Amino acid sequence: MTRIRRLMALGAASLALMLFVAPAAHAADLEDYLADAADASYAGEQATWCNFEGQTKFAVVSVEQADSTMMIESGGSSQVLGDGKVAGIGSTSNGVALADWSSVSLADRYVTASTKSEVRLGRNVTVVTVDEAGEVRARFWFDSETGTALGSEVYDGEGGLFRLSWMLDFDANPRQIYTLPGAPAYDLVVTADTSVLPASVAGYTRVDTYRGPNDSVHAFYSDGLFSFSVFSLDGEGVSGPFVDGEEMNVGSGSYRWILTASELWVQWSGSGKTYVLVGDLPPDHLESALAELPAASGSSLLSRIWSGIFG
Amino acid sequence: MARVKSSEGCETAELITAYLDAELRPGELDVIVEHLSECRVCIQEFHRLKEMRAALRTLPYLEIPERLLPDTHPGEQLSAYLDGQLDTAEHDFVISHIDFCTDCRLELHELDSARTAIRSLPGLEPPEFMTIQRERVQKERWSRRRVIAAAVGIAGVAAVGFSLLSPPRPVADLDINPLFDQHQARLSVEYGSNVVPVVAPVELP
Repeated sequence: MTRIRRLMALGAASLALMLFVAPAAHAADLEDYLADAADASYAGEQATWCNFEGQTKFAVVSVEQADSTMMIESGGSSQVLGDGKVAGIGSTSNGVALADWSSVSLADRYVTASTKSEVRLGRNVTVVTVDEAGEVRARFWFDSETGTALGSEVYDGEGGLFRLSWMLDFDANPRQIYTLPGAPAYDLVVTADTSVLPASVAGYTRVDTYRGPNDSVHAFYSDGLFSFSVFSLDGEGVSGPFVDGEEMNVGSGSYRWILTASELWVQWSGSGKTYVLVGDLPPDHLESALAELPAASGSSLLSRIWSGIFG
Repeated sequence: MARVKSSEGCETAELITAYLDAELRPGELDVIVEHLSECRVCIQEFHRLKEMRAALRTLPYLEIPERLLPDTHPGEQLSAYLDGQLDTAEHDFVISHIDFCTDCRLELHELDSARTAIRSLPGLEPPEFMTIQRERVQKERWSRRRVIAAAVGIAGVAAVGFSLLSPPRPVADLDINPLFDQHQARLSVEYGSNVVPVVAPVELP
């Protein structure tokens, strides 16, 4: 009788371990895959495609990565980035170097739903499917040899494809290793404080805050899988490329957005400030984030009066 | 009690009533006693007064009717009676009073006649200066109210108008390339960011 009870207790404990510990282990697996991809060495042509509000953007970029430094060539311009620095190849202007940064763990909401093996581009790959709240959020094809992410898909909150990337050709032995220029060709970006941009929005953590260009404040948010930057500038109005941007409303706020083949840019104004968000977060996350970030001036008369009087 | 002469010719006759009323001052009692031992008239008067007082004390106590008391005429109540403004007790008092009081009945009649005469007078327009004054006061009141209402309205409209029409400080011309560079620099140390290489803003419209 005692032995039966012990067996039952052991079974219950094992079941509990499977239910509660296993998903965390899966999330850790995804972090490992992403860390390996960041350290991988490879070169190739990569196609990226992005879809938002019925608009799509497509681009083919040349990429080369080695020693955690990446070269991206797109539209006739090339950039080298890594180690908190970015510089234009052949550019006469200084690069940008961050003085400091922090890291954040993968958010608990992501669960590695499944992994399986396939062959893509003649190479053995591991397909990792990531779920969020029981729905597929992303799928990655990691090269088994180098750890490179050969392909990726990101889905919006309704199961639609938001972003796609695939290597068109892949070389595990980069032809030319690009290196970052040495000092003093960088403008140093120092950390800053902000009382305007919240510490967390829609499951994203404000990991770092910097002084930004044109006296702006730059907050970087991440959930370990997707990330975005928010720049807060003085003054209101639509400016720069957002003049030709598309309009959308979130709640009573009015926003302008621009889509690239890899990211979304969103601009809005409110309470004497203008905000610019750029990131790769999916549309449903974007909507939640915008709802929690400083509000945009509404298009309604009441909200305009309210903001006009009370700021 | 007022002092009463008990008998003519006696200097101390007045003291007799004071004695009976116990109102003698010090020394006056000896004067009375000495006088009464000599003056027969006063002795008789003393006894007469004493008996009369004793007889008065035996009389039953009577309530004096209000109408017999001084200053109990209805007076101003007559006017109120004509105006129908008396309560029941006051009304009964006035009715019972004018039954026997000729003066009040006459006064009531005169009051009634005067009122009737006043009512029969033709209506009089107030003098022009009074009309102008009243209109001016009314106008001043109205204009004051209008000024206050207008001020409140103007303030409200100004607040709304200011909020709607006054443009907020415009943002400087936005060059997103520096923003992109700083975003890229931060992405370079973020795991997963290299999965999809970020396209430069040169692609933007």
